[in-house]
Amino acid sequence: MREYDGGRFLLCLSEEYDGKNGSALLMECARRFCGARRAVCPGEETLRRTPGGKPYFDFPGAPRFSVSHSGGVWGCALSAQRVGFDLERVRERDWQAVAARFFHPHERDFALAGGEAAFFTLWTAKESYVKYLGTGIDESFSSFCLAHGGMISGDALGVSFVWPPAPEEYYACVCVVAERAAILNVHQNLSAAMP
Amino acid sequence: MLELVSNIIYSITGKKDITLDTDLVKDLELTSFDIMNLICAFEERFDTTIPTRDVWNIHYVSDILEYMRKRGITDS
Repeated sequence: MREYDGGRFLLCLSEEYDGKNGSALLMECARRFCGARRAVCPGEETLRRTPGGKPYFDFPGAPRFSVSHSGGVWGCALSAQRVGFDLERVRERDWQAVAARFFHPHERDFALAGGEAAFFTLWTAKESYVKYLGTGIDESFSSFCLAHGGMISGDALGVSFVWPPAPEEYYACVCVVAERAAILNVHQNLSAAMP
Repeated sequence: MLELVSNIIYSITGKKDITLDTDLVKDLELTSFDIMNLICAFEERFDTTIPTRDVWNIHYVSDILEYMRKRGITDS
């Protein structure tokens, strides 16, 4: 398993996913995340599922996480805060049609101007954002815009994007709360906790 | 109709041996990007618009056929 420490998140990538060992890989990621922070990682009994089947850790200070897999690669981003992650293997597909159908007009222009690399960089950012929100892809996918002035930015949405190193022919993106917003949240939480 | 749906899936994903019971995610390992590609292909082939929210209720190939039947989408 490969690791990428993004500071506010840890990304683990594995090529050993067989469709059945997702929970085991997730536990390994949690151990690494807790270990890097010198925290005790509880056992597998703390890995629970919502009625809808979505996994989560149930222990104090448990990391938030987001999982994605594509082709033969599985990945998980873990963070103390909300996090969204997407991984996509480049395939010969009609990405122009997807951009025309599902991207905001400014994003479509950005992708068409920049080609396949721009498309997948933007696609993984958009999908990591909707996973960060917990909504998944819905009708709003076309209405929010991440392309601004020839760049991809989540500033207007209060998030930051990180594109960590990915295996060849893959794109990966992690979405976390913008640093300034994260600091504000800490202040608000501290203020709320003060007597 | 199953053959037509199978051909569209094959043209996009390269996946064969499609049956009514084929699970799009578990059996074909389709990602959301693949599914968006499929939506584009179906919309173009049948000259229709498929709301994104409808897609997440479709799990099996049989669900696609049932959805098309309910929407009156035919091979014409």
